[in-house]
Amino acid sequence: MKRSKKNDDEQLKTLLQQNIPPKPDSQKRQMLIRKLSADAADMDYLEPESFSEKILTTGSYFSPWTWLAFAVSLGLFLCGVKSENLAQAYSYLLCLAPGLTLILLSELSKTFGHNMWEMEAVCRYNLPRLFLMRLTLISGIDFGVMAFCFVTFHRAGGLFWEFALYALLPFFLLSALCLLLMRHLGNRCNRMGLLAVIIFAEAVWVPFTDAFWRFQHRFGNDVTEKVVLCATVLALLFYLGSAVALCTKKYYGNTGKGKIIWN
Amino acid sequence: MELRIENLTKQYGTNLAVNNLSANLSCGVYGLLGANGAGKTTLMRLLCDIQRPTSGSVCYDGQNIREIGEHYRNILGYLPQNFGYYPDFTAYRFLMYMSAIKGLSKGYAKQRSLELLDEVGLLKVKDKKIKTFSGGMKQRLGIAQAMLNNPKVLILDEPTAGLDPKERVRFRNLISTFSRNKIVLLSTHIVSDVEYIAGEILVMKKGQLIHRGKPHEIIHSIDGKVWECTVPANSVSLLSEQYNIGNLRSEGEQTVLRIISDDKPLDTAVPVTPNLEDLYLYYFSEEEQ
Repeated sequence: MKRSKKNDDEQLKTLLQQNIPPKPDSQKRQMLIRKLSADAADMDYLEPESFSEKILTTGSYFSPWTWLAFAVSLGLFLCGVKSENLAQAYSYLLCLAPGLTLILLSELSKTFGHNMWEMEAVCRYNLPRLFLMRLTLISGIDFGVMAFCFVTFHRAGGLFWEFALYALLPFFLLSALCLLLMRHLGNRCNRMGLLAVIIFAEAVWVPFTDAFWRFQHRFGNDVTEKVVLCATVLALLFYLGSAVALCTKKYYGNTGKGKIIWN
Repeated sequence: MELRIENLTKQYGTNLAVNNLSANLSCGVYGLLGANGAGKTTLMRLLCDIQRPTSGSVCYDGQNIREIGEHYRNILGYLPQNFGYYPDFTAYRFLMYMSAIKGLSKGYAKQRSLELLDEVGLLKVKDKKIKTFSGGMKQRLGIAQAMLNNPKVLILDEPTAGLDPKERVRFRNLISTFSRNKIVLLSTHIVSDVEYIAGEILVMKKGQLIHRGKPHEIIHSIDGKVWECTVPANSVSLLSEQYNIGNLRSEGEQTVLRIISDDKPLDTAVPVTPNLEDLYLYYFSEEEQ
């Protein structure tokens, strides 16, 4: 090409306007925040909402499939327990944990699945707060469902440690694992991938429950109950920790290690 | 009202997506022009506080946007390059959802959503699911969601990409309508879009701002570098290899070429008035190849 660039870049760079960075001034910053807050107060459309109101508003935009999935999970469990065959109830309990995890992840990961994360990130309630609201609501419902299932299971003759082994432990561990994966992968998080993780983890858990029965035969109910309870408390802490990690992450590219998280 | 970009740099591994960029934006429409990979999207994400800069800062009225966080987001409207949506939402429900996470009151959100749907020509289809919309309708819905909180800073990342000419004109008019008393930054590689609506153009190349000015000023910078000449059709391929061809038009056995070159390409070539497209080709022809 005959056209010469004649150090275009260097020549044109000289046209750049050089700006002197302002010195940080906390007083000025506070003044601006006050001004923006006053502006916001004048804008009657910006409504102060309590956390519970925000959660309820978030819930009203959940997919109808989410509510249907909760209803189906409960219905299936009730059918399973009605048979008064505890062995069958265990199977239903084993299905309950991945089912509830799937509902939770489906609502959380839809932001990435439908490429909404950029728009949601620049809103007043940005991604971490949105995740917090969704997580609080769904976890609340999950705990409600679990409590209801436990009461039903207990009435059918089941023990708490059995319930914890078949439902609580896998739910906390699976959910925590998936939340951490979501946190790490960001918008590269794939729903099918999460589903595969859930199925794989559940497949690992089933033989693990058999091992617990052998443990129970050897050490008795009391020891088993204590071990399962401790494990459940630890799993709950792990779940809460993962939830906090997801909701406090700054959804930015990781510049330190040169990784591209959001691009 | 001022958005100040100070020595902004964003690095991905060894690649500098935005390289020590500084600029000052006040009220008005700014067109951000650059080839694919020039760093436009990264810059916009940095301006929206979606990504963290490797170094440098973005200040709104003298304060770092990362520090004023929610206060900045209250006055920000953004339409990303890949406009996402929940497919089962109707247009109205989508705007109500976006209003909810923007923290708008329900009463205001209802009124504003209907107003905006009317302005973007989607009121009649407000109860239809977004997944049934055409590309142009989705983009119009996209700008409506960006306008819900009546933002002071409006950032639109390639809003006209993939739209047919009619939709593009419609969209341009919408942006012009919405741009009063705002800082509007519009990125595109479709030059005619910025030519019509932008008061100022920022040209970005390899992460740096290489040019800035009003459209006519910027175009003047390549005065005497755009030529037109008529050549036999069989010599076109040879000339194409040697020169940066902006346009070619067949006229029987002859072809009229528009050549962008620092030097007069042929004795018969005459200088012609450049346009923004020529400017784009002048700066980005190599990158686009």
